[in-house]
This record gives sequence, structure tokens and C-alpha cells, in this order.
Amino acid sequence: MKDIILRLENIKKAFGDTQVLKGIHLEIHRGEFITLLGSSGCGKTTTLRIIAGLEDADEGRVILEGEDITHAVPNKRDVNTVFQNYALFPHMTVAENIGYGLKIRKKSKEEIRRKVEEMLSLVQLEGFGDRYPDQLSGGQRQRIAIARAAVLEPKVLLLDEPLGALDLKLRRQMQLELKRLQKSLGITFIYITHDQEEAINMSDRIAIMNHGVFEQIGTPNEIYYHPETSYVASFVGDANIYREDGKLYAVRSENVLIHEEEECTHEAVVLEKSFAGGQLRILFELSDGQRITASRYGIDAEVAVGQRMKIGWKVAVEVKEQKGGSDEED
Amino acid sequence: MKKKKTFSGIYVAVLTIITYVPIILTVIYSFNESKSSVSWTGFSLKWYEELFRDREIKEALINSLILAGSSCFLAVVLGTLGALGIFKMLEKPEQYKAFAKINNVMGYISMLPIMIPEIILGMVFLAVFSFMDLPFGMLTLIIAHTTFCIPYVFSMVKARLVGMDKALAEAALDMGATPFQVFWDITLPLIMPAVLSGTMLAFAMSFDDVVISIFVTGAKVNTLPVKIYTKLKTGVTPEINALATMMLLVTLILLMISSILSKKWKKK
Amino acid sequence: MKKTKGCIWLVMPMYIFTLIFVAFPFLYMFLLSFMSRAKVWGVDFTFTLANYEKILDPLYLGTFVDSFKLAFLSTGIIVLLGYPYGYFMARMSEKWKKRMMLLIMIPFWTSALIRLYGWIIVFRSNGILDKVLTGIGLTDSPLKLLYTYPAVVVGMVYGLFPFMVLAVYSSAEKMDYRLVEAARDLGASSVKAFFTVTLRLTLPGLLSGVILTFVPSMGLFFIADILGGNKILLVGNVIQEQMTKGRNIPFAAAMSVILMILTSLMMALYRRVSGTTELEGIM
Repeated sequence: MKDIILRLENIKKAFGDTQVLKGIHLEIHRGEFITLLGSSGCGKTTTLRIIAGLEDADEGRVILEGEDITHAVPNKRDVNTVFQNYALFPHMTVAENIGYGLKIRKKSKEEIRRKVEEMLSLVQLEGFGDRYPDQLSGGQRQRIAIARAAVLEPKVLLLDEPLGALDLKLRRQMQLELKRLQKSLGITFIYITHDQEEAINMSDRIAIMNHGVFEQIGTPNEIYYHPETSYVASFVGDANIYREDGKLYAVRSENVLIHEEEECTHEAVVLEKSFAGGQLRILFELSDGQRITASRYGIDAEVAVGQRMKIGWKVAVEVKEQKGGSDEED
Repeated sequence: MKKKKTFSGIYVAVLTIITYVPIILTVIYSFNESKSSVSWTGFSLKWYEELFRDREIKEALINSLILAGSSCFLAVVLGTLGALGIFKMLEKPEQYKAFAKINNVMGYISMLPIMIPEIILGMVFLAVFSFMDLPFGMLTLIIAHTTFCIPYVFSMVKARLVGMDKALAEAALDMGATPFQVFWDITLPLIMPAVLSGTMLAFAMSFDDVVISIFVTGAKVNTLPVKIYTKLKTGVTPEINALATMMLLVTLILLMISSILSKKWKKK
Repeated sequence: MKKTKGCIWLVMPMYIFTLIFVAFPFLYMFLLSFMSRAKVWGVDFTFTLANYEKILDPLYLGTFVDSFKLAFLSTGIIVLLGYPYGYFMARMSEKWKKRMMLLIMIPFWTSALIRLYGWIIVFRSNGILDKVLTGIGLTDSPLKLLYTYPAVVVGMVYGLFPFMVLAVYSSAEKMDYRLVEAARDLGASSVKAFFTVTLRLTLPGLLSGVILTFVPSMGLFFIADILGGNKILLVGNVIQEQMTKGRNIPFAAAMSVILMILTSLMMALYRRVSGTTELEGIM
């Protein structure tokens, strides 16, 4: 039995006529790094805001260490948030920003100074205390925002797409740093992102959200190799969803075989060839109209658009219909 | 491309110079010995001496300062609170559905004083103050000026609030601040520049107003612009030149202070 | 987060003040315009339409026409002079933008009366303008421009010019100049690019500048008073005279109502065309 620090029970939330959260359940373990992954509008930010108390759930309960905090005001909750665009106070120095929560808690000046110094060195920005946020780079602001939330030693730290505004290189670097920070702080992280690579790189567990429900909750391995629903398979693994006899199978594009092998039993015609991320992607149409994408590194596939050939696959995982409904719904 | 730059530069320069011609002439003639502004007869400071001796002008100046100061103060209090209230309601449209219509109508009415020709406002106040039986003087002046000072403060502060990142207040709340602390530590410092520039604009508008003041000033109280207006109507005296120069100087100093302050603000 | 409706108390003071000192007075003005004039001073509260009939009198109707003419003329000149000015300013380097802003703000913050006063010096007979013009041989005798129509127009244009410049500037400053370059790149001539891109994108500023100059120009009676002597009669002057010397408050109210309706129509038109209620430049 794992130590549960935060539990969401049947949370529902609607904005006007739109049901954003359709009754979600989630148990978060002490000290884990859990990621809510989903495309924009799936309800992940709303979930986070409900945990933070910035949004009020219509139904359901939020339980932090056995205590019901569903309707507690945000300033009385032992959780802190790192906001999407950092939300650093522009009129305060870096040190004042980090120390703000401590000042609110009426800590002594000496203690505030010491803790701010500690945090600054933890995020490797010693000596930046007297600067103002607009004198910092995006990556530096990001670290200050994390320091500001983490200095309060919350039970749970909420991070709302904290790396969203950074460029790719900086993102990769910050991913590692965040993971390191989480380990050294020992705080539970609830992390939000729409980038599946980021989620897989950093998380202990991933909860995949789609239209206000969780499609699957599991370790990166489980999510990647054993997708439960078609949505998970296509969102995380970039898999083809193949229908046969009323069943759904997820076929990863790299597992599609195109050379004459014994598994190649499907008649197909090449519709399109394109390069993406160093990979050759070939779009096939099967005789029953279903479309399958195959991908390869390097240019080893000598196929031409319009060419007829047989394709097949060895690895196909049976998945369920996605839970959250399709995009056409709204 | 080069030619275009030269043309636009000359165009702007010529118009700017024309803008300054009457102002510079006023300054030059304030040092003219002769009473007429037709010919230059020699340098003199006598009009300044006369100006400083003029008790009526001094009184009018003090009145204008009191008037602009108090109507600005009222406008800042009412306008800032109003903007904060409206903004809070805009944030939670669900909760304040019933007020949306009222806010729209009231918003329109409160902007009226700066949306219509001033003469109408003057006329309206003259009529209504005599109906209300208010004694014409400083009180009526302050009420009238407050009505047209509020929109400047209100709309500037509101624009600033709407443009403010909502996450800032949420972040403070998230870190444990009470709503009052959020207001005091975050919202107030961030809207301060808007409050100040709204106040400055309102002060200038009030200090400069002739049209409305003429209607509501009554016989006993004179504001500086009203005084200047009557002097201009009765005949030009070089004393006005000196007064204009002094006012120009004060404007310049105030603008300089405000630009230094805003620079400091930005540095922070 | 179940909060009481505390925000209402924040807006209350402003609303109460606005109701008593703006809404009520305007309502009162509207009512007054249907009242009769008392024998000596004040208002006789009996219903009449006479005030509105009186406005149709060619004498008063003429002042409306004259005021509109003057307002249109001044606004037109201000647009022609101020639009390029504001636009050029927005295209200057950051350093010059700041300098120009200061140069614009100094007259803007200076008392309107004081600035008008300078023109008296310029225009008076044998004043600076006459001396310069005869000096370079353009005219033989003094023009005696003071207390003439052109002087009033110059005064109007001069007084309201900064409003237009600031409105156009703030709109042009926000414009992405690359759009003009894109249009040129796509083959538009510079004239075509101006009308299809620049003008379209700075239209909100231009329109708000028009409102900010046209509306006040209807009521600035003191400009006509000081630079036009008593020769040029505008709606503003009539309202002022009826209130003070004429003591016919109901008639002044009726004229104000008409003037207000006309300016409100302008505002409504502005809203229609620009799609916003905010006036650019000043706020």
C-alpha cells in the first residue's frame, strides 16, 4: 500500500455549458513525480487549479493528507503552484519574490534571507537576488518561479506547463534540472504538459487526459508499451489504430513492415511520402480504406507514391475505444 | 527611402516650430518694456513685478490649486475604487450577472462628462445647481470638476487592471496571502502608475478648465483660467504674458519631474 | 471561494456620485428643454415645445450650421496636418519618439487660453504676422487677421491638434510596419499599400482623433470669443449667452439637448465604424 498524499474523488467542473471535468479520480503518492498529459482543452489545467483552490469544483472532493480541502481558500492550502508564464511580481526583486510567501508567514528577516539564499543556490542563481524579473532570461525566470513556490515547502507542488515558453534546447536542460530538483527537495510534483516526450522523460507516473476524463494512469513504460485505449496509443506512441473484426489494435508506425516478409498480408497503396524529424514517413491506404503510417530512419525504403505493395506488422496491441470521446464532439 | 525620411523630418519639424511660435512669442513679449505687444522697446521685468503684486491673480491661482487638488483627490478615490469594483465583477461574470447591465449603463453615464462638448456640462451644472439651491462657489466648482476628472482616473486604472496578468494575484493567493494582502502587496503597486497618470491628466484638465468653470464659479470665486479669460476679453496686458511664461515654466518643471519619476519607476 | 458581493461597495460611491451629479443633471436638462421661461429669472414649469420651435428659427439654426461648418473645417485641416504628423512620429527612432513626445506634451499640458493668447500677438494688426508678411513683400497693408474667421479656424486647429497627433501616433505605433513591407513585396505601389494597409490599420486612431477634435470643437466658445471677437456666433456662444445674459435656461437646455444628440450620433457612428468604445490616444 502506497502512501497517498492527495486524492481527487469524482471531481466535476463545468464552465457554462461545457463540461470540462467529467468526474475524475486520481490518487497521488507521496514524493512522486506525476504528469497530467493531454492536448490543450482536455481539462488538465482546470484539474490543477481545483487542487490549488483557484477554481471551485462543482462536485467531488479534494483530499490532502486525509483532510478535505475541496472548499478551502487557496491561501490556506499546503500546495503551491508554478504558473504557466511564471507570474513573477514585476515590482519586486528576485529575493522579494522568493521571500514573499515567507513574509506572509511572518518569518523573521534573518530566516527569510537564509532560505532565499538556499533556494537561489539550489536553482543555481546565486547573486541574482537583487535583480528584477525583467532583467532575467526566460530560463532564469523559470527557475525563480520554481524557487518561489518550493521555498514554502508545500506538500504538493503544482507545475502548469512550466517549460512551455522555453526553446527546445533549454527545455531539455530544464527537464533534467527539474527532476534533480524534485529529488533533492523530496516534494510531490504534479506536472502538466502537452508534450509526451517531456512526460515520458520526467515522470514516475503519467495520467493521460482527454475531454475531461483520464484515459489511462500508469508508469511511462505501461503507457508506452501497453496503451489501454486508442487515444493513449495514438497520443503517446504515435501509433496507427487498426480496426479488425470489431476490435481495435494499436500499431506503432516504426513497427509497420513494408518489405516482403511473412507478416505482410495486407494489400496497400502508397499515398504520400514525407520527412519528419529525420524519419521517412509513408502513408498507406489499405484495401478497406483504413490508413496506416509507417516510419523509418534513413532512406532505406524505396517506395514510390502510387505503388501497390503488401504491408504488415508483428507487434499490435489490442486497445479499447477512447473514453473521452472524439474531437468532433465539441 | 532617404528622401522620404528627409521629407517627413522636415514636415514634422516645420509643424512643431509653428506650434511653438505663439508660445515663444508670449515668453519673449513678457520681457518687453512696452505695454503693447506690437513693438519691442526693451528688456524689462516690470510685468513680472506687477504679476507678483496682483492679489487677484494670486487668489485665483490658489483657488485653482485648491479646486484641481480636491477634485483630483475625489476623482482618485471614487474612480480607483470604482475601477477595482467593476474589475472584480468582470472577473466573475456568473456571480454578477444581474449587475452587468447596470454596469454598462453606469459606465456610459460616468464617461458622459468627457464625451460631450464641455459647454453642455457647464450649462447643465448651472441649471441643476440653481435648482438644488447650492451656493455657487468652491463647492459647485469641485463637484463639477470631479465629474469630469473621474472618467480619466477610472478608465486609466480600469485599463491597467484589465491588462494586468491575472496569474499575479493568483500567485500571491497561492503563496498564502489573504485577499487584502494581495491587494496591498500586488494590485496596488501595479496600478499605481495608472493612478498617478490618471491623476496628472485629471489635474491638468481641471487646472486648465475655462468653459465649465465660467458657468459654476459664481461671482465671488475666480479660478486662474477664468481670470485670464476675463482679462483677455477686456484687453491684452503684458502681465498675462508674464503669467503665461510662469505657467509654462511650471508645466515644464512638472513634466520633467514626471519623466524622471517614470524613469526611476521603470528601473525598479 | 463563496464570497459575498463585496465589490458592489467599491463601485457604490462612484455610482452614487454619478447618479446625483451626472445622471440627474442630464435628466433635468432634458426636462428643462420642455419648460417655459419665467418672466424674470428661472424656470416656469409648464410644458412647451416652443424652445425646440425656436431652434428652427433661421437665426439659431444658422448657428448650428455655422458650428458644424467650423467643426468640419477644423477637423478636416487637423486630419490633413495631424495624420501625417502622428504617423511620421511613430516611424521615428525610439530616441526621437521620446523627444517628440515631450515636444507634443508641453503645449498639451499648457493652458489652452495661454496658447491662444500667443495667437493674439501673432494676428493682431501690425503684429508679428503682418510685419513678416509685409517685410518679405507678400502684402502691402496689414491683414488684420485678428477677429476674423480664419483666426478662429487657426485657433481651433491649434488647440485640438495634439489630440489628433496622439491618437494617430498611438495607433500607428502599434502597427506592424512589416505588413506594409509585405504589401509592397506583393506588388502594391506605395500609394496602394498606404490605402490598403497603413490607413486601414491606423483607422481606429484616426477616427478617435476625429471624435476627440470634432466633439470639443462644437463647444469651445471661448476660441470664437477671443480670436473671433463677437463676430462669429457658434452654438457654444449662443448657449452661453442664453444662460448668462439671455437668462433663457429652457432654450439653452433645448439647444444643449440637440447638440448632445448630434454628438452622440457621431459617437455611435464612430462605434459602428471602429467597433470599439475606447478612444485611442488619450487613455
